[in-house]
Amino acid sequence: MKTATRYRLYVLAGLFVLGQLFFFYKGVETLPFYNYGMYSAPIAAKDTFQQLEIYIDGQAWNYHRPTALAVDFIESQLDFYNNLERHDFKDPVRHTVRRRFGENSAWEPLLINSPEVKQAFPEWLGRYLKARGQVESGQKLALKRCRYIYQAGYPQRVACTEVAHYAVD
Amino acid sequence: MQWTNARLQRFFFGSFVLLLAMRFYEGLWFMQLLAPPFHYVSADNFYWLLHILTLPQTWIQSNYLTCLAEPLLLLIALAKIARPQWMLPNYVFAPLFTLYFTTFNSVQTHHAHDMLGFFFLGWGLVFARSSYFPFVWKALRYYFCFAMLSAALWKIGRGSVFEIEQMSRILQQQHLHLLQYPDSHPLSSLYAWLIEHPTWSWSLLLFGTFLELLFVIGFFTKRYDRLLLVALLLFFAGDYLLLNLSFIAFLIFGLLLIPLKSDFSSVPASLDKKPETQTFA
Repeated sequence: MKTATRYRLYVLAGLFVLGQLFFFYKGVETLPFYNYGMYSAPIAAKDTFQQLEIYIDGQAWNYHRPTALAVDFIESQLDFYNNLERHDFKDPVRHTVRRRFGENSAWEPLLINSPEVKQAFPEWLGRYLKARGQVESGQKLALKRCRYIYQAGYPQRVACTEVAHYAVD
Repeated sequence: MQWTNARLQRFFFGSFVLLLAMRFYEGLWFMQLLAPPFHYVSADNFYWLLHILTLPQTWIQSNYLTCLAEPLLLLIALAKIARPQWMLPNYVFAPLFTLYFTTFNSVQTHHAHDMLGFFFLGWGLVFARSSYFPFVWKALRYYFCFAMLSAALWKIGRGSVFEIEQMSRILQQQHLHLLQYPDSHPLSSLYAWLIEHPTWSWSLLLFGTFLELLFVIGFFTKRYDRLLLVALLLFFAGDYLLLNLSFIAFLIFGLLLIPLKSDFSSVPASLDKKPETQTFA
Protein backbone atom coordinates (compact mmCIF):
# COMPACT_ATOMS: atom_id res chain seq x y z
CA MET A 1 0.00 0.00 0.00
CA LYS A 2 1.33 3.45 -0.89
CA THR A 3 2.31 5.81 1.89
CA ALA A 4 -0.26 8.41 0.74
CA THR A 5 -3.04 5.82 0.81
CA ARG A 6 -1.96 4.60 4.22
CA TYR A 7 -1.95 8.21 5.43
CA ARG A 8 -5.51 8.77 4.12
CA LEU A 9 -6.72 5.62 5.84
CA TYR A 10 -5.21 6.75 9.14
CA VAL A 11 -6.92 10.13 8.74
CA LEU A 12 -10.27 8.36 8.13
CA ALA A 13 -9.75 6.14 11.18
CA GLY A 14 -8.86 9.25 13.22
CA LEU A 15 -12.04 11.00 12.08
CA PHE A 16 -14.07 7.96 13.11
CA VAL A 17 -12.49 8.06 16.57
CA LEU A 18 -13.35 11.78 16.84
CA GLY A 19 -16.95 11.07 15.78
CA GLN A 20 -17.17 8.28 18.34
CA LEU A 21 -15.85 10.58 21.08
CA PHE A 22 -18.35 13.29 20.11
CA PHE A 23 -21.37 10.99 20.34
CA PHE A 24 -19.98 9.44 23.51
CA TYR A 25 -19.86 12.95 24.98
CA LYS A 26 -23.40 13.74 23.72
CA GLY A 27 -24.67 10.48 25.22
CA VAL A 28 -26.65 9.54 22.10
CA GLU A 29 -26.08 7.17 19.20
CA THR A 30 -25.96 7.90 15.51
CA LEU A 31 -25.10 5.08 13.18
CA PRO A 32 -22.21 4.12 12.98
CA PHE A 33 -21.29 5.66 16.35
CA TYR A 34 -22.61 3.44 19.12
CA ASN A 35 -22.40 3.52 22.91
CA TYR A 36 -22.23 0.11 24.59
CA GLY A 37 -23.63 1.14 27.97
CA MET A 38 -26.40 -1.47 28.25
CA TYR A 39 -27.27 -2.23 31.91
CA SER A 40 -24.60 0.21 33.09
CA ALA A 41 -26.97 2.66 34.82
CA PRO A 42 -27.39 1.92 38.53
CA ILE A 43 -30.91 0.59 39.17
CA ALA A 44 -32.74 1.99 42.17
CA ALA A 45 -34.59 -0.35 44.53
CA LYS A 46 -38.30 -0.66 43.68
CA ASP A 47 -41.23 -1.96 45.68
CA THR A 48 -43.49 -2.55 42.70
CA PHE A 49 -42.89 -3.43 39.06
CA GLN A 50 -45.25 -2.96 36.17
CA GLN A 51 -45.59 -4.11 32.61
CA LEU A 52 -48.12 -4.39 29.82
CA GLU A 53 -49.43 -7.91 29.27
CA ILE A 54 -51.44 -9.70 26.62
CA TYR A 55 -54.64 -11.47 27.65
CA ILE A 56 -56.46 -13.87 25.33
CA ASP A 57 -60.08 -14.55 26.32
CA GLY A 58 -59.31 -13.38 29.84
CA GLN A 59 -56.21 -15.58 30.25
CA ALA A 60 -52.71 -14.08 30.52
CA TRP A 61 -50.62 -15.21 27.53
CA ASN A 62 -47.14 -16.62 28.10
CA TYR A 63 -44.96 -15.64 25.16
CA HIS A 64 -41.71 -17.14 26.46
CA ARG A 65 -40.15 -19.77 24.27
CA PRO A 66 -36.67 -21.37 24.12
CA THR A 67 -35.01 -18.64 22.03
CA ALA A 68 -35.17 -15.01 22.91
CA LEU A 69 -35.50 -13.22 19.59
CA ALA A 70 -39.28 -13.04 19.28
CA VAL A 71 -39.65 -12.38 23.01
CA ASP A 72 -37.47 -9.28 22.65
CA PHE A 73 -39.60 -8.14 19.72
CA ILE A 74 -42.92 -8.61 21.52
CA GLU A 75 -41.67 -7.05 24.76
CA SER A 76 -40.34 -4.03 22.87
CA GLN A 77 -43.72 -3.56 21.17
CA LEU A 78 -45.58 -3.80 24.49
CA ASP A 79 -43.17 -1.43 26.26
CA PHE A 80 -43.52 1.09 23.44
CA TYR A 81 -47.34 0.95 23.50
CA ASN A 82 -47.29 1.23 27.29
CA ASN A 83 -45.08 4.32 27.08
CA LEU A 84 -47.22 5.94 24.35
CA GLU A 85 -50.39 5.21 26.32
CA ARG A 86 -48.95 6.98 29.35
CA HIS A 87 -48.22 9.99 27.11
CA ASP A 88 -51.80 9.98 25.81
CA PHE A 89 -50.48 8.69 22.44
CA LYS A 90 -48.46 11.85 21.82
CA ASP A 91 -45.06 10.53 20.75
CA PRO A 92 -42.36 11.96 23.08
CA VAL A 93 -39.94 12.09 20.10
CA ARG A 94 -41.96 15.12 18.87
CA HIS A 95 -40.16 17.32 21.42
CA THR A 96 -36.79 16.49 19.82
CA VAL A 97 -38.22 16.98 16.32
CA ARG A 98 -39.63 20.42 17.22
CA ARG A 99 -36.39 21.43 18.91
CA ARG A 100 -34.47 20.59 15.73
CA PHE A 101 -36.94 21.61 12.99
CA GLY A 102 -39.39 23.97 14.73
CA GLU A 103 -43.18 23.72 15.07
CA ASN A 104 -45.27 22.26 12.21
CA SER A 105 -42.33 20.85 10.32
CA ALA A 106 -43.30 18.87 7.22
CA TRP A 107 -40.96 16.12 8.39
CA GLU A 108 -42.61 15.65 11.79
CA PRO A 109 -45.29 13.17 10.60
CA LEU A 110 -42.53 11.03 9.08
CA LEU A 111 -40.59 10.85 12.34
CA ILE A 112 -43.22 10.44 15.05
CA ASN A 113 -46.05 7.97 15.60
CA SER A 114 -49.52 9.39 15.05
CA PRO A 115 -52.28 8.90 17.69
CA GLU A 116 -53.87 6.40 15.26
CA VAL A 117 -51.49 3.73 16.55
CA LYS A 118 -53.74 3.52 19.62
CA GLN A 119 -56.20 1.47 17.54
CA ALA A 120 -53.76 0.17 14.95
CA PHE A 121 -51.55 -1.66 17.46
CA PRO A 122 -54.17 -4.01 19.01
CA GLU A 123 -55.47 -4.73 15.48
CA TRP A 124 -51.97 -5.55 14.24
CA LEU A 125 -51.24 -7.65 17.35
CA GLY A 126 -54.37 -9.71 16.63
CA ARG A 127 -53.26 -10.29 13.02
CA TYR A 128 -49.68 -11.12 14.08
CA LEU A 129 -50.69 -13.58 16.80
CA LYS A 130 -53.25 -15.21 14.52
CA ALA A 131 -50.59 -15.69 11.83
CA ARG A 132 -48.32 -17.26 14.49
CA GLY A 133 -51.11 -19.63 15.50
CA GLN A 134 -51.59 -18.13 18.96
CA VAL A 135 -55.17 -16.82 18.58
CA GLU A 136 -58.20 -17.63 16.46
CA SER A 137 -60.92 -15.52 14.90
CA GLY A 138 -63.47 -14.26 17.40
CA GLN A 139 -61.17 -14.51 20.42
CA LYS A 140 -60.88 -11.41 22.58
CA LEU A 141 -57.47 -9.86 22.92
CA ALA A 142 -56.82 -7.44 25.78
CA LEU A 143 -53.84 -5.41 26.88
CA LYS A 144 -53.56 -4.94 30.63
CA ARG A 145 -51.11 -2.95 32.68
CA CYS A 146 -50.23 -5.10 35.69
CA ARG A 147 -48.37 -4.30 38.90
CA TYR A 148 -46.26 -6.81 40.81
CA ILE A 149 -44.27 -7.13 43.98
CA TYR A 150 -41.49 -9.69 44.46
CA GLN A 151 -41.79 -12.34 47.18
CA ALA A 152 -39.17 -15.06 47.65
CA GLY A 153 -37.71 -14.31 44.20
CA TYR A 154 -41.01 -14.59 42.32
CA PRO A 155 -43.36 -11.77 41.17
CA GLN A 156 -46.81 -11.69 42.79
CA ARG A 157 -49.56 -9.85 40.91
CA VAL A 158 -51.09 -6.92 42.80
CA ALA A 159 -53.52 -5.44 40.28
CA CYS A 160 -54.22 -5.14 36.54
CA THR A 161 -55.91 -2.40 34.53
CA GLU A 162 -57.18 -2.96 30.98
CA VAL A 163 -55.85 -0.35 28.55
CA ALA A 164 -57.13 -1.79 25.25
CA HIS A 165 -59.10 -4.68 23.83
CA TYR A 166 -59.82 -6.09 20.38
CA ALA A 167 -61.85 -8.94 18.92
CA VAL A 168 -59.66 -10.89 16.48
CA ASP A 169 -61.02 -10.88 12.90
CA MET B 1 -4.00 -21.83 11.59
CA GLN B 2 -4.58 -18.80 9.39
CA TRP B 3 -7.82 -18.39 7.49
CA THR B 4 -7.88 -17.58 3.81
CA ASN B 5 -9.93 -14.72 2.49
CA ALA B 6 -12.34 -17.19 0.84
CA ARG B 7 -12.84 -19.14 4.06
CA LEU B 8 -13.44 -15.94 5.98
CA GLN B 9 -16.15 -14.82 3.54
CA ARG B 10 -17.77 -18.25 3.43
CA PHE B 11 -17.95 -18.32 7.21
CA PHE B 12 -19.39 -14.80 7.39
CA PHE B 13 -22.11 -15.42 4.82
CA GLY B 14 -22.75 -18.96 6.09
CA SER B 15 -23.37 -17.51 9.56
CA PHE B 16 -25.70 -15.00 7.99
CA VAL B 17 -27.74 -17.81 6.40
CA LEU B 18 -28.07 -19.39 9.87
CA LEU B 19 -29.16 -16.05 11.31
CA LEU B 20 -31.85 -15.72 8.64
CA ALA B 21 -33.03 -19.28 9.38
CA MET B 22 -33.31 -18.45 13.11
CA ARG B 23 -35.20 -15.28 12.37
CA PHE B 24 -37.61 -17.17 10.11
CA TYR B 25 -38.25 -19.70 12.87
CA GLU B 26 -38.96 -16.86 15.28
CA GLY B 27 -41.37 -15.16 12.86
CA LEU B 28 -39.16 -12.13 12.37
CA TRP B 29 -38.88 -12.00 8.58
CA PHE B 30 -40.44 -8.82 7.23
CA MET B 31 -43.23 -10.71 5.49
CA GLN B 32 -44.05 -12.45 8.81
CA LEU B 33 -44.23 -9.17 10.75
CA LEU B 34 -47.36 -8.08 8.82
CA ALA B 35 -46.51 -4.36 8.80
CA PRO B 36 -46.25 -3.37 12.48
CA PRO B 37 -47.69 0.12 13.08
CA PHE B 38 -44.85 1.63 15.13
CA HIS B 39 -41.61 3.19 14.05
CA TYR B 40 -38.96 4.58 16.35
CA VAL B 41 -36.20 6.95 15.29
CA SER B 42 -34.84 7.79 18.77
CA ALA B 43 -32.23 10.59 18.53
CA ASP B 44 -30.25 8.77 15.83
CA ASN B 45 -29.63 11.16 12.92
CA PHE B 46 -29.17 8.29 10.47
CA TYR B 47 -32.60 6.89 11.35
CA TRP B 48 -34.05 10.39 10.95
CA LEU B 49 -32.58 10.66 7.46
CA LEU B 50 -33.90 7.24 6.43
CA HIS B 51 -37.39 8.05 7.75
CA ILE B 52 -37.47 11.46 6.08
CA LEU B 53 -36.66 9.61 2.85
CA THR B 54 -39.51 7.20 3.90
CA LEU B 55 -37.32 4.17 3.14
CA PRO B 56 -38.10 2.04 6.26
CA GLN B 57 -41.82 2.92 6.15
CA THR B 58 -42.06 2.04 2.45
CA TRP B 59 -40.17 -1.23 2.86
CA ILE B 60 -42.14 -2.53 5.84
CA GLN B 61 -45.57 -1.43 4.59
CA SER B 62 -45.28 -2.75 1.03
CA ASN B 63 -46.47 -6.32 0.49
CA TYR B 64 -44.11 -6.83 -2.44
CA LEU B 65 -41.01 -5.30 -0.84
CA THR B 66 -41.41 -7.17 2.45
CA CYS B 67 -41.53 -10.44 0.48
CA LEU B 68 -38.23 -9.53 -1.17
CA ALA B 69 -36.24 -8.55 1.93
CA GLU B 70 -34.80 -11.74 3.40
CA PRO B 71 -34.96 -13.83 0.19
CA LEU B 72 -32.75 -11.23 -1.51
CA LEU B 73 -30.27 -11.22 1.38
CA LEU B 74 -30.34 -15.02 1.40
CA LEU B 75 -29.61 -15.13 -2.32
CA ILE B 76 -26.63 -12.82 -1.87
CA ALA B 77 -25.28 -14.94 0.98
CA LEU B 78 -25.66 -18.18 -0.98
CA ALA B 79 -23.95 -16.62 -4.00
CA LYS B 80 -21.03 -15.64 -1.78
CA ILE B 81 -20.77 -19.12 -0.29
CA ALA B 82 -20.68 -20.60 -3.80
CA ARG B 83 -18.29 -18.02 -5.25
CA PRO B 84 -16.44 -16.15 -2.50
CA GLN B 85 -14.20 -14.37 -5.02
CA TRP B 86 -17.22 -12.67 -6.65
CA MET B 87 -17.33 -9.15 -5.22
CA LEU B 88 -20.61 -7.74 -6.55
CA PRO B 89 -22.66 -9.37 -3.75
CA ASN B 90 -20.43 -7.67 -1.15
CA TYR B 91 -21.20 -4.25 -2.65
CA VAL B 92 -24.94 -4.97 -2.56
CA PHE B 93 -24.98 -6.68 0.84
CA ALA B 94 -23.48 -3.84 2.91
CA PRO B 95 -25.98 -1.07 2.04
CA LEU B 96 -28.93 -3.48 1.80
CA PHE B 97 -28.23 -4.99 5.20
CA THR B 98 -27.77 -1.50 6.67
CA LEU B 99 -31.25 -0.58 5.49
CA TYR B 100 -32.58 -3.98 6.60
CA PHE B 101 -31.39 -3.87 10.19
CA THR B 102 -32.25 -0.18 10.69
CA THR B 103 -35.74 -0.83 9.35
CA PHE B 104 -36.13 -3.79 11.70
CA ASN B 105 -34.82 -1.81 14.69
CA SER B 106 -37.24 1.00 13.87
CA VAL B 107 -40.35 -1.22 13.76
CA GLN B 108 -39.11 -3.22 16.74
CA THR B 109 -39.04 0.15 18.59
CA HIS B 110 -35.69 -0.73 20.07
CA HIS B 111 -32.34 0.04 18.45
CA ALA B 112 -30.74 -3.27 19.39
CA HIS B 113 -27.01 -3.89 18.97
CA ASP B 114 -27.18 -7.60 18.26
CA MET B 115 -26.81 -7.31 14.46
CA LEU B 116 -24.04 -4.71 14.53
CA GLY B 117 -21.42 -7.37 13.80
CA PHE B 118 -22.97 -8.11 10.42
CA PHE B 119 -23.25 -4.37 9.78
CA PHE B 120 -19.62 -3.49 10.54
CA LEU B 121 -18.06 -6.63 9.07
CA GLY B 122 -20.36 -6.41 6.05
CA TRP B 123 -18.92 -2.98 5.24
CA GLY B 124 -15.42 -4.29 5.97
CA LEU B 125 -15.90 -7.04 3.38
CA VAL B 126 -16.62 -4.42 0.72
CA PHE B 127 -12.80 -4.14 0.69
CA ALA B 128 -12.27 -7.92 0.77
CA ARG B 129 -10.14 -8.02 -2.36
CA SER B 130 -8.60 -4.60 -2.08
CA SER B 131 -5.11 -3.78 -0.83
CA TYR B 132 -6.89 -1.77 1.91
CA PHE B 133 -8.42 -4.92 3.40
CA PRO B 134 -5.74 -5.77 5.99
CA PHE B 135 -5.92 -2.21 7.30
CA VAL B 136 -9.72 -2.17 7.36
CA TRP B 137 -9.89 -5.56 9.10
CA LYS B 138 -7.35 -4.45 11.71
CA ALA B 139 -9.29 -1.24 12.30
CA LEU B 140 -12.48 -3.29 12.80
CA ARG B 141 -10.65 -5.53 15.27
CA TYR B 142 -9.63 -2.48 17.29
CA TYR B 143 -13.21 -1.20 17.11
CA PHE B 144 -14.52 -4.51 18.42
CA CYS B 145 -12.03 -4.49 21.31
CA PHE B 146 -13.15 -0.92 22.03
CA ALA B 147 -16.83 -1.95 22.01
CA MET B 148 -16.27 -4.75 24.54
CA LEU B 149 -13.91 -2.72 26.73
CA SER B 150 -16.18 0.33 26.70
CA ALA B 151 -19.08 -1.82 27.94
CA ALA B 152 -16.99 -2.52 31.06
CA LEU B 153 -15.90 1.11 31.38
CA TRP B 154 -19.55 2.28 31.23
CA LYS B 155 -20.37 0.00 34.17
CA ILE B 156 -17.33 1.16 36.12
CA GLY B 157 -17.76 4.84 35.22
CA ARG B 158 -21.42 4.91 36.24
CA GLY B 159 -20.69 2.93 39.38
CA SER B 160 -23.25 0.19 38.76
CA VAL B 161 -20.64 -2.56 38.96
CA PHE B 162 -19.98 -1.57 42.57
CA GLU B 163 -23.66 -1.90 43.56
CA ILE B 164 -24.14 -5.28 45.19
CA GLU B 165 -27.89 -5.26 44.40
CA GLN B 166 -27.44 -4.27 40.73
CA MET B 167 -27.57 -7.72 39.12
CA SER B 168 -30.42 -8.83 41.36
CA ARG B 169 -32.44 -5.77 40.29
CA ILE B 170 -31.60 -6.37 36.62
CA LEU B 171 -32.91 -9.93 36.98
CA GLN B 172 -36.09 -8.71 38.69
CA GLN B 173 -36.85 -6.37 35.80
CA GLN B 174 -35.70 -8.70 33.04
CA HIS B 175 -37.60 -11.78 34.21
CA LEU B 176 -40.76 -10.12 35.49
CA HIS B 177 -42.87 -11.87 32.84
CA LEU B 178 -40.96 -15.14 32.64
CA LEU B 179 -41.07 -15.78 36.40
CA GLN B 180 -44.86 -15.70 36.35
CA TYR B 181 -44.60 -19.03 34.54
CA PRO B 182 -41.81 -20.84 36.43
CA ASP B 183 -42.52 -24.14 34.68
CA SER B 184 -41.97 -22.66 31.23
CA HIS B 185 -38.21 -22.12 31.62
CA PRO B 186 -35.66 -24.62 32.98
CA LEU B 187 -33.65 -21.90 34.76
CA SER B 188 -36.58 -20.14 36.50
CA SER B 189 -35.62 -21.40 39.95
CA LEU B 190 -32.01 -20.27 39.40
CA TYR B 191 -33.22 -16.76 38.50
CA ALA B 192 -35.41 -16.62 41.60
CA TRP B 193 -32.50 -17.85 43.75
CA LEU B 194 -30.15 -15.21 42.27
CA ILE B 195 -32.75 -12.50 42.91
CA GLU B 196 -32.90 -13.60 46.54
CA HIS B 197 -29.10 -13.83 46.85
CA PRO B 198 -27.72 -10.51 45.53
CA THR B 199 -24.12 -11.22 46.50
CA TRP B 200 -24.01 -14.29 44.26
CA SER B 201 -25.66 -12.50 41.35
CA TRP B 202 -23.28 -9.56 41.89
CA SER B 203 -20.31 -11.93 41.60
CA LEU B 204 -21.62 -12.94 38.15
CA LEU B 205 -21.83 -9.27 37.17
CA LEU B 206 -18.24 -8.79 38.33
CA PHE B 207 -17.12 -11.81 36.31
CA GLY B 208 -18.94 -10.50 33.21
CA THR B 209 -17.28 -7.10 33.62
CA PHE B 210 -13.91 -8.84 34.03
CA LEU B 211 -14.47 -10.70 30.74
CA GLU B 212 -15.20 -7.36 29.03
CA LEU B 213 -12.14 -5.76 30.61
CA LEU B 214 -9.94 -8.50 29.15
CA PHE B 215 -10.40 -6.88 25.75
CA VAL B 216 -7.93 -4.17 26.74
CA ILE B 217 -5.28 -6.80 25.90
CA GLY B 218 -6.41 -6.63 22.27
CA PHE B 219 -5.04 -3.10 21.95
CA PHE B 220 -1.48 -4.23 22.71
CA THR B 221 -1.11 -7.70 21.23
CA LYS B 222 -2.82 -10.30 19.07
CA ARG B 223 -1.14 -13.12 20.96
CA TYR B 224 -4.14 -13.65 23.24
CA ASP B 225 -6.87 -13.38 20.62
CA ARG B 226 -7.92 -16.98 21.29
CA LEU B 227 -8.40 -16.11 24.94
CA LEU B 228 -10.51 -13.12 23.88
CA LEU B 229 -12.57 -15.39 21.64
CA VAL B 230 -13.26 -17.64 24.64
CA ALA B 231 -14.11 -14.56 26.73
CA LEU B 232 -16.53 -13.41 24.02
CA LEU B 233 -18.28 -16.79 23.90
CA LEU B 234 -18.43 -17.02 27.71
CA PHE B 235 -19.82 -13.52 28.06
CA PHE B 236 -22.66 -13.97 25.60
CA ALA B 237 -23.42 -17.52 26.76
CA GLY B 238 -23.85 -15.97 30.22
CA ASP B 239 -25.99 -13.20 28.74
CA TYR B 240 -28.25 -15.81 27.18
CA LEU B 241 -28.44 -18.14 30.17
CA LEU B 242 -28.86 -15.44 32.82
CA LEU B 243 -30.78 -12.69 31.05
CA ASN B 244 -32.39 -14.64 28.22
CA LEU B 245 -30.85 -12.16 25.79
CA SER B 246 -30.00 -13.56 22.37
CA PHE B 247 -26.82 -11.88 21.14
CA ILE B 248 -25.89 -14.80 18.92
CA ALA B 249 -25.59 -12.50 15.88
CA PHE B 250 -23.10 -10.33 17.78
CA LEU B 251 -20.69 -13.29 17.96
CA ILE B 252 -19.77 -12.73 14.31
CA PHE B 253 -17.41 -10.05 15.64
CA GLY B 254 -15.33 -13.03 16.81
CA LEU B 255 -14.13 -13.42 13.19
CA LEU B 256 -11.90 -10.42 13.83
CA LEU B 257 -9.94 -12.44 16.37
CA ILE B 258 -9.01 -15.16 13.88
CA PRO B 259 -5.64 -14.69 12.13
CA LEU B 260 -5.89 -14.20 8.38
CA LYS B 261 -3.44 -14.96 5.63
CA SER B 262 -4.00 -11.47 4.31
CA ASP B 263 -2.76 -10.01 7.60
CA PHE B 264 0.81 -9.01 6.79
CA SER B 265 1.80 -8.50 10.36
CA SER B 266 1.61 -12.25 10.87
CA VAL B 267 3.65 -13.40 7.85
CA PRO B 268 7.40 -13.09 7.24
CA ALA B 269 8.58 -9.58 6.37
CA SER B 270 9.85 -10.78 2.99
CA LEU B 271 6.28 -11.49 1.88
CA ASP B 272 5.18 -8.01 2.83
CA LYS B 273 6.52 -6.63 -0.46
CA LYS B 274 4.64 -9.07 -2.67
CA PRO B 275 1.23 -8.17 -4.12
CA GLU B 276 -1.52 -8.77 -1.58
CA THR B 277 -3.55 -10.88 -3.98
CA GLN B 278 -0.99 -13.67 -3.69
CA THR B 279 -1.88 -14.17 -0.08
CA PHE B 280 -5.58 -14.69 -0.81
CA ALA B 281 -6.95 -18.09 -1.62
